Amino acid sequence: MPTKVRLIGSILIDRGWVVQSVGFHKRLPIGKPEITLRYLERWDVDELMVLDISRDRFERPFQFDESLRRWTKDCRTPVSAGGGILKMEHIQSVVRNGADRVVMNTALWEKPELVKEAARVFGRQAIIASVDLKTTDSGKWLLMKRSGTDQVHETLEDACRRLEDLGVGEIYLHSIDRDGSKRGFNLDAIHCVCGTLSIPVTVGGGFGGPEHIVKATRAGASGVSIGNALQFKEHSVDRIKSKTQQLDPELSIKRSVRFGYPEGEMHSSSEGIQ
Amino acid sequence: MKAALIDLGLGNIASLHRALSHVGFHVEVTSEKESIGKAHVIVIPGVGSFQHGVSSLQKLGIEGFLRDLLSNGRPFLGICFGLHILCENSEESEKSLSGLGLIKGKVKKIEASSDFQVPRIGWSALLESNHSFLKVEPPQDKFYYCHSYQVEVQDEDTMVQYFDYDSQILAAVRKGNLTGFQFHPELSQGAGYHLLESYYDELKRGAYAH
Repeated sequence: MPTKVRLIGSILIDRGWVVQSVGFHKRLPIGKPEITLRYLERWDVDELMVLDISRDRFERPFQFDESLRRWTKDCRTPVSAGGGILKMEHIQSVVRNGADRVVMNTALWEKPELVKEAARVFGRQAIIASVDLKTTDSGKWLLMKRSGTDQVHETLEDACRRLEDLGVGEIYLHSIDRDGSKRGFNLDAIHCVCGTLSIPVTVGGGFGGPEHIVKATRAGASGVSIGNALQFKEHSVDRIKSKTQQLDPELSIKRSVRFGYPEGEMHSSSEGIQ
Repeated sequence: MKAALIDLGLGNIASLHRALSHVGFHVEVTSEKESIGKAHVIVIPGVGSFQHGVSSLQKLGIEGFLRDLLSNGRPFLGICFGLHILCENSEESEKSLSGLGLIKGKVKKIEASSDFQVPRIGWSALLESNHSFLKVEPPQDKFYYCHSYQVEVQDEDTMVQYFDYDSQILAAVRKGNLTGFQFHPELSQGAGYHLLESYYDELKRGAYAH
């Protein structure tokens, strides 16, 4: 059986606007979510991830309803969405407005019963546990919640085992310190998690080139999330996939023979983007 | 042609609604017997756990109605859960909840290991064989799947097609008027839309006329 990898195009939303983030601190505005998602889809990503990182998302009323519906209204690709989910109504809102799967981070520690119930109702394949990992200067791994502002006192291994038992369908392992750095994913952390679990693991934070995808899959990851690196560059997904395939010909990557445009036109990949 | 899309309240049906409309169906999201009864094709989307899907159908009071309609030849398209519900029963449910029993088969949990993660999530082409009933053009087109349970069919009248990446996992079934996909064509970009277009054309040509 071939080793497969999925390429997830991720966008971060701050107050309705797509932003680029670096180390969870700097936030640079990019543009409108619906436009960014449309381009990512045209460029042959395998999945889309939309995360609301607005700092007030836990205080104000949940906003992933009309907005998310508008942003995803032309999508023909699996969409995962999250950001501030702490109640069942939030999950209902997200899935009824365009998301196929929900992403939770803070709730994993603050509302574990919600996570369990959500898996029971929606099926475990619909629940993604986003684990934010910070590596200290001394090389220690800290798990964080609330956009990296609050530390959680659980080891990575214990957390992942507990989350698998709780019923999540996938661990999305995100490196806070490597975010936006382009220096590659935290391979030791991937190894650690993949060795412990039998649910799929995807990784994010630090993508800088196709070699990082090859290394991540060899460490056990079944998907990689790319955010910052895809901004402003046309055809970048196709180039990344092509180079990754060259680096590891045994790796199975989806390469679309055609792109489906929101307007309904079907073009072959050789025609490119107009 | 009218498609009745059954809303079980358990997830995203917008993508499927959009895809069916795009290829030509007049889509009505409904759980009313009268509307369902008038549709050319009944569609059950791929959302939720088996247990909640079955109890949603029961709560809507349409389980028996659907069983009658479908066993009398009404075209049906089921995706993921929509495929599972055609079978007799599933291991997924805590109590022993049964499906519609229209296909002799079981829904079974896929065995996980650190080399073979479950839920199965990814993209795969379909295995071509003499028994293939889906015309995938080009044959390398891949479809998106996201599931923890698989269907095992023990029904001579049912045509089956498997995933290319794992020939043990069933990707699609067809038994007369009943069509089921384990993958999500509405989330499979151009490939999925193309497949749904073919399905629409088949129905239009009267392939499953009742």
